[in-house]
Amino acid sequence: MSTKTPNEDDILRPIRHTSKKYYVMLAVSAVVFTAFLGLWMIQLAEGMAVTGLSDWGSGGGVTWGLYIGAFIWWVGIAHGGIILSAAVRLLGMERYMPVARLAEMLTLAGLSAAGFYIIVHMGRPDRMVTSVLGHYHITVHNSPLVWDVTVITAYFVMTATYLALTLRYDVTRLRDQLPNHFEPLYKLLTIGYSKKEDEVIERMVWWLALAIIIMAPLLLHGGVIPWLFALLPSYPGWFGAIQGPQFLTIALTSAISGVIILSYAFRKAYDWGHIITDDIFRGLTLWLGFFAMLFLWLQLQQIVSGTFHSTTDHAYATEAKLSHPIYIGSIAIVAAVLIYIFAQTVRKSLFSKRRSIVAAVAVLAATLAEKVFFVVEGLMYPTFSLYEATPGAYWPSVIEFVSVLGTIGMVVLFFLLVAKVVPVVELHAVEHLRGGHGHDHEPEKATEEVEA
Amino acid sequence: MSVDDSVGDHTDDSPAHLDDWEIELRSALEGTEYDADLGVGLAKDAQRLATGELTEAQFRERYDDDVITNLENEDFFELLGAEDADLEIVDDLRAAGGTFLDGLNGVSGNSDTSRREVMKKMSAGAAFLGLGALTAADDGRDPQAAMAAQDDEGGNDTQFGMVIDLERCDGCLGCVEGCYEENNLRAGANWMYVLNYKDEENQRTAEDPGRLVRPCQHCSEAPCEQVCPTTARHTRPEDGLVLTDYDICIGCRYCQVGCPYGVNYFAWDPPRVDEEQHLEENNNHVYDNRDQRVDMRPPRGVMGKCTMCPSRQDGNMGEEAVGTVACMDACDQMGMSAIHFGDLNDPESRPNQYIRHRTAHSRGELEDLDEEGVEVYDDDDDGGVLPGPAPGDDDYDDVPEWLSSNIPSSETGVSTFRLLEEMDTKPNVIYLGDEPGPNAEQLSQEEVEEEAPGYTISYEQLNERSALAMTEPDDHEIVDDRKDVLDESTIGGGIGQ
Repeated sequence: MSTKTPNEDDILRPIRHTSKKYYVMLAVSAVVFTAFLGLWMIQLAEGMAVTGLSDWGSGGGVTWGLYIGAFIWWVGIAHGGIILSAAVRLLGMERYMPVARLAEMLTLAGLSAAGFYIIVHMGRPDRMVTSVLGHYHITVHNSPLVWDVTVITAYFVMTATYLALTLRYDVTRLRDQLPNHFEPLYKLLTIGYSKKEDEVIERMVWWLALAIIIMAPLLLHGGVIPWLFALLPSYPGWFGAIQGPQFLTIALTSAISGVIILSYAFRKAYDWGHIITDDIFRGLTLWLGFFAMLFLWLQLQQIVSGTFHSTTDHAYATEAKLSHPIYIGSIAIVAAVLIYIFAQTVRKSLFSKRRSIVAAVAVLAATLAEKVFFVVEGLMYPTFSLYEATPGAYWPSVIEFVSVLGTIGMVVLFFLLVAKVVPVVELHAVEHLRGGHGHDHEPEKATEEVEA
Repeated sequence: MSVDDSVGDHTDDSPAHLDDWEIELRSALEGTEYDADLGVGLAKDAQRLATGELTEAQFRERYDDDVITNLENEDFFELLGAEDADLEIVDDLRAAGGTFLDGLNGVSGNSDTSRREVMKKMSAGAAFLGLGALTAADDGRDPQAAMAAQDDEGGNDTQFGMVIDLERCDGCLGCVEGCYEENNLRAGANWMYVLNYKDEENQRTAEDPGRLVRPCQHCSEAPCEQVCPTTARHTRPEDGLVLTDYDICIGCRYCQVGCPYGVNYFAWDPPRVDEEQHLEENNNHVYDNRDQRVDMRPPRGVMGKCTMCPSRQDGNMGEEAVGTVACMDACDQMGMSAIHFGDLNDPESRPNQYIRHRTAHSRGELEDLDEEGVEVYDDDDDGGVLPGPAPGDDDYDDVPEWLSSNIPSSETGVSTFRLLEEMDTKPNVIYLGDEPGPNAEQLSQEEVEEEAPGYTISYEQLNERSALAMTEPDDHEIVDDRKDVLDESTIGGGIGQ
């Protein structure tokens, strides 16, 4: 671990210095994102037949596929902010404070990508406002999709508010060192600021964090997103009470992975070894292992209940799942990551940040594949299975594949731009690290909690 | 379990205040032609049904046969304590096509419900059953016809639906063609679809396949409507048709996901006929009487499915088209008359007439075919289901074609079913014939051609038959490989794995 003492200059470095690599990344992510926008335009012009989707039934395909799978995946990643916020603000695990804001920003970026997928997925996105909002008072009673839009919107607004409130403290104090061309934005962010509010904001933020943390696991990834599927009895691959917890574990594994990758990228780019320390990576990696274990445990529950003495349709869907390389592959990857993480807790020398990154990327790939497979498999093996001999299978089109790269590009772009405007590490974190030797015992304590 | 047993089983559980009532009823029944034990047992179990102690299935198991033989006139419900007000309920129930059980189901399970209220409903239900047995002549025990209508909010409202006789279908695909042409559908978006299957449980094999004709089921509890985030998918209040407002739908496809039957077809690709031209040419066919765009194929990006032709029902297509649907017309024209569309709440509608007739026929209650193979109606008052003219009578020609020919003979009686009833969607398509079991497997067209030649025609043969498909193959060819059609527009990938 670095012995340097973190200071304001450290967290201002992304705003003040722009490397050649930055421009390369900016260009690459912009190109990828633009490429997808272009393909989306083609989809709008030609119709959704440009995708690999079709109608289930005599249409021989699936009506929801990669777009919806990736939508779920992004919402899952967006949970990163919540976990870190919970750890820092509510549970007092202050060692994660340096990555908390990055994680909160990941929430906004992830939700934006998910929201974008909803629009990309629609046949008539132009009617989104008139048709959905216009009948909201009726549909909110029945439609899980409306619940879904409601909760995601609420989650986004609350997280954005939360971030905006915490930024006021930093921007006010660092104002003189921030670039002048963003002056209007800083003025807007800090409008009406006075030092007296700090204490009030802190309390507000605590309550907001509490509200978001209650809402996200219970209503979002443990609620409305799985309910889109779990409430439909005609799809044995989807139906059932386990999908709530199952989705949540997938969200948490993806989210932690996202935070690991993001933290590593910023640490490397801005020489933040003394801020985002090795210890943070060890802790995050251990959490990844813990959530991966829950993920696999709930998969096991589904497999056992689907094979032991299940109904015909359920048995059939489970059999299909177990014989598909994508499902087996995803589960194997998560299992391998779990084995590695548990091994490195026993033998510390097995840990390296690079291995953590490999594990995180592997888990993200596995959860994306698993989620897309989940969506497709449900529609391929419905209770009413009489269309079985109808020819056709689903394989995503180029546009769908590029959508994943495009939204990743969009999220990277978001971070590249935001990092130029506001500090992505809290001033509080720096202050804490400077005077926070009293918290040295925290990491060990947290590690023990995870192990327990 | 006998009726007596059921009475005995529950005596201890019965509230004390019912004892007096039981004595009253028993004494009233004794000295009549009715079996007093049966009457009391029925009344008690009816009450249990009303309060939810007994399921409808259990009730039916106990009483179907016995009740019919014992309750054949109005005296019975008078004995049960019915008064004039009850007669009105009876009439209402009958008009709605409801049954004794429907009457009871209307009674709340709430313990506050007065005994009088329970009695009233119960006796009305019992009376209905008795009267129903009389008025439906010999069809007597005919739960399907009377149950044909879903008791939609208990009113007299129209509920359009279909009776489809799978044993009468010969796989000519006339309905598929009729629907396709009527609605200008996209290639492969077969709103009406015919499936062939094998199913060991039903002794259906590749050599002797089963068949399912599959339009939209126009469910009374339509899951597609429930999940719709926009109200585009809705039930038309005046006739229960489940429709999509093409001007509101956002194309999220959740209705297709919510539907357990797979009847929805999204407009992925541009239509085969230009949109503006389509609207211009079909102005009266596209909009219904509420001026909502709900009929014919949807524009690109929104969901479509079988509509049961609302613009026909609204009279936009001419008076003669009211009460008809394109698939039924086509089926009739092919001489098959397997599809019967109409108001399921109207006892005299075509589907209800057909199902009564067919049920009676399967029990051998209609006379056999005459020498020329034409159905002969038993015109005794207590005879045929549809007392009507026989060949040679002046008004013989009045017998509708769809009722007078090609009735399959059935030695074992005919069974009826609705698809996936356990999903509680309350579908409004009633099938006559074998229900595909959970292990039924679809047979591909090739398999049918190979193993059971002639069982159905192929889509190639259908196109050869179709004049339009022959003259304009690009625009009018009817296919069933929707995925292949869509894959042509897929950019990269999209091929079957």
